[in-house]
Order: sequence, then structure tokens, then C-alpha cells
Amino acid sequence: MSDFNALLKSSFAEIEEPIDAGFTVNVSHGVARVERAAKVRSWTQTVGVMAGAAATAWGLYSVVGVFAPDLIAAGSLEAARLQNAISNGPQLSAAAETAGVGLMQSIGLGMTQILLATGALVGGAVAYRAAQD
Amino acid sequence: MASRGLLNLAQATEAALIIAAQAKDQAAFGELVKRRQGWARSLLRRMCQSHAEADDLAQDAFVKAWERLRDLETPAAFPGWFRRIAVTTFLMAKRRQKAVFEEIDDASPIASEESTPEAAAGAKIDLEKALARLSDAERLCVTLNHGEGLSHAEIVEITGLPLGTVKSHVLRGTDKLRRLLEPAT
Repeated sequence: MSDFNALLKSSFAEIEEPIDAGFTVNVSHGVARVERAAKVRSWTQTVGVMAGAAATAWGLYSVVGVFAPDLIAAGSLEAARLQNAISNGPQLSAAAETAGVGLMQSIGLGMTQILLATGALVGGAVAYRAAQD
Repeated sequence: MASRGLLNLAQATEAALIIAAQAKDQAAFGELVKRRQGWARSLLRRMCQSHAEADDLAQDAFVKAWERLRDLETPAAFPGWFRRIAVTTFLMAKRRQKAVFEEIDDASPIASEESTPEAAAGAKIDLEKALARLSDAERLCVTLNHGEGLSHAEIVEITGLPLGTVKSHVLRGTDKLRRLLEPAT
């Protein structure tokens, strides 16, 4: 058996290696294809992330645009109420409650933008993950 | 890349080529493939029944190696590292074909000559034919053991097969080869 094993090893060693015959060129083409695909993936990733960032920025801008006046108004009202409480006593609580209701309505109106921004973030993340894979 | 002459690539050591290829130098990788293609294709041809399939797998293995070359820690480890990629590529292809554990029990002798030095020479010539009559798993284990000189433990590490299975495949494969190559006494 050991003689046969030795014969087997020498037979394996004596098997001639195949000549190139265009194999290296084929591999080089394969590598070039892989590199091109990687570049396309990179571009897709960049475009996806940029689109996601733009959509997020637009969504945030829309949300801020809706909320900002109410937030500023509510803040100002709170400041005025505080100042009034210090100087005249608690007279503006009813007005503050009204401002609170307005804020809730604004949040309701801004939900579309919140969902849009969330969707953009999720879309961007999915595009990024897909590009990574 | 473009500034490097072909002469320099041809003269470069394998380690230098690997380091350059790790830095995404496609020409250096091409030279590396040129130097190693014979060994890689020969290894896969022993594992596969068809030379065309072996060459396709070798090409896939080299492309995978290009993609993962940054994972290679030292250039000296390239042969073992690439062998692992080649074996994994072969196993994945066989798993896609669902043919890894297909058994071929036809072990009628190929060589018809008497047990002489000429017969031994004939056995060497017929080795590829005899290998083609083993099962895929036996051929893989026998090739890695006798052809590549790997121990059973190293084959386990590369293939992920259990040690007992590897030992069994090597033993049965070797025994089948003996029966196929040596004339009945």
C-alpha cells in the first residue's frame, strides 16, 4: 500500500500543468468586469445616499417650515406668560392652552412630512445596504 | 500601473506582485495569475471530471482571490490561501449541482498490463482517468492528500468535512485507485 501511495504521489507530481492558452486574459477580463461592477455599485451608493440626504433635507425643511411659526409663537407666548406671571399673576393660562392645541394640530399637519423624511432615511439606508452587499 | 514596464512585472517576485495586487494593481495580479494558473488549473482539473469545468472554476477562484486579496495577511501564505479559495469554489459548485456525495462504485481496473515498470508508467498516464471514476468527495480528498500533500486535519480545515469522513474518503479513494490502476494479481 505504501509503495502504491508513493507511486500515487509521484503520479500526481508528474501530471503536466496546462498551458495558459488565453486563461490569464480571461481572468483579467473577469477582474476588469468585477472592477466595473464595483464602480457602478459605488456610483449607485453615492446617488442613493445623495437622493436620501436631499429628500431628508427637504422633509426636515418642510417640517421646520410648518412647525417653526407655531414653535416661535408658543415660545414667545410662554415667555410672555412667564413675564406676566411675574408681574401681574397667572392671567394667560387659557391663551397658552390654545397655543398647545395649535401645536398639536401642526404636528398632525406635519405628519406627512415626518413620514416622508422617515421614508427617505429608510430608503437611503436600504440603498446603502444594497450597495454594500 | 501604466508606468510599470512589462519587464519589471516579469522580474518581480511573487511577494511583490501580491503586495501590488493588494493595492489594486490589475497588471500585477495578471502576472500573478500567469505564474500560478498552471498549478491552480491542474489542482482543479484533478478535482473535476471535466477540464472545461475546472478551468471555469479556476477563473472564478482567481476573480474571488482578486476581490479578497486584502484579507491575505502575508504574501508567503498565498498558495495555501488560494488553495482554500479553489476548494471552496469547487465545493460550492458541487453543492449547486447537488453532487458532492454521489458515489461511483465502478472500480474495474483500467490498466491491463502486468505489474511491471511499464505498467507503473501506464498507471501514471491513467491517473486522471482513474480519478474521474471516484466520487467527487473521494477525488477531492485524495487529490488534497496525495496530490497536494495535505494532512487529514488540513483537509478537514479546508473542506469543513468531518475528520472521519475525510479519512474514509482518502482510504476508499486510494483503495479504488489502487484497484483501478494496478492489474489484478
